[in-house]
Amino acid sequence: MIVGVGVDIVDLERFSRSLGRTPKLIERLFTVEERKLEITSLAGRFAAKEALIKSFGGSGAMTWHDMEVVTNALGAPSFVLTGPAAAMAAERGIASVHLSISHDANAAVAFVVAEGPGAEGALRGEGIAR
Amino acid sequence: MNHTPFREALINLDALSANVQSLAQTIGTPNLMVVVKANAYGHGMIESARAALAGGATWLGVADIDEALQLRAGGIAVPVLAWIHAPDETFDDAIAAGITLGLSTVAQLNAVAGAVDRAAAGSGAGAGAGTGAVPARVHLKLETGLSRNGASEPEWPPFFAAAAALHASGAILVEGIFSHLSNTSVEDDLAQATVFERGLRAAAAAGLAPTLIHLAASATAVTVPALRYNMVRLGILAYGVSPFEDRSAADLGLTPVMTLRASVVATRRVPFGAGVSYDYTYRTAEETTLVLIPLGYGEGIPRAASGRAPVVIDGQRFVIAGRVAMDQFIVDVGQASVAVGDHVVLFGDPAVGHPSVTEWAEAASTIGYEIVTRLSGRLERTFVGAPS
Repeated sequence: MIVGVGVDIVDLERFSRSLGRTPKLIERLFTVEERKLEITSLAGRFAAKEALIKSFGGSGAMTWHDMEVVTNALGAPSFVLTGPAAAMAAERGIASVHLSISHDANAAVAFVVAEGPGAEGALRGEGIAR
Repeated sequence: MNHTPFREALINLDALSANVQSLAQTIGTPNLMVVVKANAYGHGMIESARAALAGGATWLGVADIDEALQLRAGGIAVPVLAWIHAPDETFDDAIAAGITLGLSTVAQLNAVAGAVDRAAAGSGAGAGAGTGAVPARVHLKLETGLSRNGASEPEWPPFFAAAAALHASGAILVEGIFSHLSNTSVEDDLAQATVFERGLRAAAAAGLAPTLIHLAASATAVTVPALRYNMVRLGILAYGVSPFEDRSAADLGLTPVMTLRASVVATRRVPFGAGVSYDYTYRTAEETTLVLIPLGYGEGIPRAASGRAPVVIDGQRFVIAGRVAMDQFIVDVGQASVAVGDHVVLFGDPAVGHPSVTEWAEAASTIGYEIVTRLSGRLERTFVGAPS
C-alpha cells in the first residue's frame, strides 16, 4: 500500500549558486559521504530529500542528515533513514521507501514512493471492506 | 454600511501610545516588547501595533506565525516573536517573512533549520535570496514552572546542544532566551526565576550567548524590577487594563484604551411585573422603561455578566436586567428619559465616568484580559488618534 509519494526538481545552476553563497550549506544539507560527490549528484540528492519530505507529508523533527542517499553496485539510489526520519517512518507505518533520480542538462529530479507493510497488510487494512 | 456604528469599540490609539511610553520610562529596559496577540487583546492588531511602536516598543509579540504574517502583511517590519506553533509547522513562511521564532523542542529547532536550508538551496526567493542564507532568529523557550510550553530542565542538555550546533552551522541565530511566570505570588515568581537562572547558566555552558533575556510580562515587569533582564513583554498594561486586584489602571498612570459602547435600539414602557429576557430572571419592580442594547455574547459580552454588569447611559449608571442573549440585552432605566439612538457605555475610562473593565471582570467572575480579548464578531472598531 502506498502511504505517500513525493517529487522534487532542482535547477542545477541555481543550486550551485546557492551552495556558493552559503559555504556552510553543503555541510548542513549532506552527510560526510554525500559531500564527496559532484554538484549534479548533490542536486539530485537534495531533490531526493525534498521528495522524501513530501512523501512523508512533512519534515517533522527530521534533519537532512537523517535521510542519507546511498547507491548500490548498479548505481541505483536508496535512502538510509536514521534518527527522527526513521522514527517518523515507523510512526506513519512506512515500511519501505523507493527512490528514483534523473538528470538532464539543467535539472535534477527525484521521485519517492513511501510504502506501507505491503499487500498482506492492505488485505487486513480497514479500507478493504467498506 | 448604511448607518453609523451602533455597536462599537472605540480604540484610543493615543492612549495606547502614551501607556507604552509611560511604561517604557518606568521599566527602563533597553528593549521593550508589546504583545499584540489575539487581535491585540481585542483592540485591533495592526493599528494597536503601530500605536505601540509610536510609544516606543522595539519588539512585537504574537502567539502564532499567522498573526506574525498578518503584521508583516500590514507593513510592519520590526522584530516580531511568535511562540506557539502547529505540531506539523514547516516554518517556511515564517522564515521567508523574517519572523523570530520562540522554540521549545529539538524537533522545532530541526524544522526551522530545515526551512532555512530549503530557502537557501531553493529558488532564490525568501531568506536565501541574493546574499546567501540568513539564519533564522530564534528565542529558546524554557519551562520554569507554569507547565506550558518551553523545554523543561531535564530536556535542556539535548535542547541547548542542538541549538548550539545549529547556531554554529549558521542555520539559526540563537538571539534570545525566555520563559513566562505564573504570577501566583512574588515568591512563586522568584522560584521560577531561580530555575530560569539555572537555564541561563546551562545555555552558556553549552556555548550559547543569547543577547535578549526576557522573563517578565506586565505584572512582574512593574512589581519586580530584578526580573526585567534586558527586555520585558507588555500586554494588558499597554491597553490600560490593570492586572492587579488592588491597583487600578489610573493608579498605574495608565489610560484605558478601549471604550465599548452601543446605541439604544428600542425602548419599551412596561408595567410592574414584566418579565425581562430569557428565563425571566428579572421582573420589573414598578412601571418602568426598558431599553434594548444590541450587544450579546455574539459580540463577546459574557453571559455570566447577566444581571450584574454596569452600564452608563447619559451619565447615569444602571445594571444589566436579566440574561445577556446572543445579540442583545436589556437595561431597566426606571423613570429616566432614554431615547432610541442614545449611547450606552459598557466600559471605558473611569476618569470620565465609565464603568471599568475590572468592574465587568468582577461581574462576570473573570479577569480584565478576558473581557477585552473575547470581543469579536459583529463589533465594529473605531480608531481614534493616529500614531505617526
